[in-house]
Amino acid sequence: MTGITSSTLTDSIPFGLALTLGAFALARRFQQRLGGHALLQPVLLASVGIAVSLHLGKVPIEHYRKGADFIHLLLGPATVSLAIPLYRQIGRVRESLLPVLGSILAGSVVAAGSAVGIARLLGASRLTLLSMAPKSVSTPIAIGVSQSIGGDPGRSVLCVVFTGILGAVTGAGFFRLLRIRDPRAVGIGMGVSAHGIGTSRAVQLGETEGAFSSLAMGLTGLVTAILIPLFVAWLG
Amino acid sequence: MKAARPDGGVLEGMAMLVGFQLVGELSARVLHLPVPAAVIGMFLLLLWLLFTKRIPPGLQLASNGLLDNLALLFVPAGVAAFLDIGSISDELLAITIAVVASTWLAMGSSAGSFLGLERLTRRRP
Repeated sequence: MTGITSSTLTDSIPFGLALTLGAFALARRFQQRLGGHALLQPVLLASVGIAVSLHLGKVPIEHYRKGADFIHLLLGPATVSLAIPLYRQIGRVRESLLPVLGSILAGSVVAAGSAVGIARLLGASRLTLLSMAPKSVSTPIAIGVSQSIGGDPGRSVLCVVFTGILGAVTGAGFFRLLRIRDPRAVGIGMGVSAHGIGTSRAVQLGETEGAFSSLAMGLTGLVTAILIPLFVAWLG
Repeated sequence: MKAARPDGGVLEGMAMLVGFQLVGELSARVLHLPVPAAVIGMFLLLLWLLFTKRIPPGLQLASNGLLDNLALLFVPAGVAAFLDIGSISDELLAITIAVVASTWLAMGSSAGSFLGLERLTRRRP
């Protein structure tokens, strides 16, 4: 029985699947136990918990991916299904179409501009600046934009994921602090800034938040993918 | 009354979602759109729903199941990002400050400009 070691066990599909589902369920229970505190978002707790466990156990990420990829795969159909809250709320979107489009455009420009501007003030390298420009859009767009403007896609993905988690974790508290209670404004803020991860939190806050966040996520992606390459070309 | 379908239709809903994702994939390739296939699929499904004016029960069920657990689906990406944090260690501080500040600036400016524009357009009926 020398063939069965812990390494062959981690190199299996159920390993990454069970670890992800188990850690997320545990994180959610933990959050509920502590009174549902918004800072204890299960996506943050589970991600950190699993990353630390893999690191300490010296398990290669490729092993984890074998199972985790099945969960990642569901993101596609889940994104498509955001059309349903959007459809239910389409009347409210139409009612204020101009403010919706204007604020999404403004927010997209602020997201990219402030990230690049602040990092530049702090002395970040040119490669990092280019990689940070598409930080407020979902991963596939960010990778594409980053490649097309000469950034480092890996670095972009990091910024995208941390932006999303930060938006999901702090969004509700942030808007409470600013006394912004309009669910449409909250949804737009979460979707523009924190893409899909922010939208996953907005969906929990309410159907209106979820619908406006989904729309903002999609349009921010479109605006960013078109404007950033043009802007970088203009800068030369 | 129509006979109830034994499968409840979740499978049909899931097939619809993946089908629209596939059409999104096709549109992205043919039209060279820079947006992910799933996001195009979302807008196409929205158009479809606006056209048919009803949400099939199976689609609603499949969508509820996915959206109730949407955050879970981002865990694999989160794990990869936290494991890869060493790759930005040379500029960790600058990147962290820029990410945090710009995330809040983008949230505040988009929500704030929505409320401002909403008030402006309300005044003129």
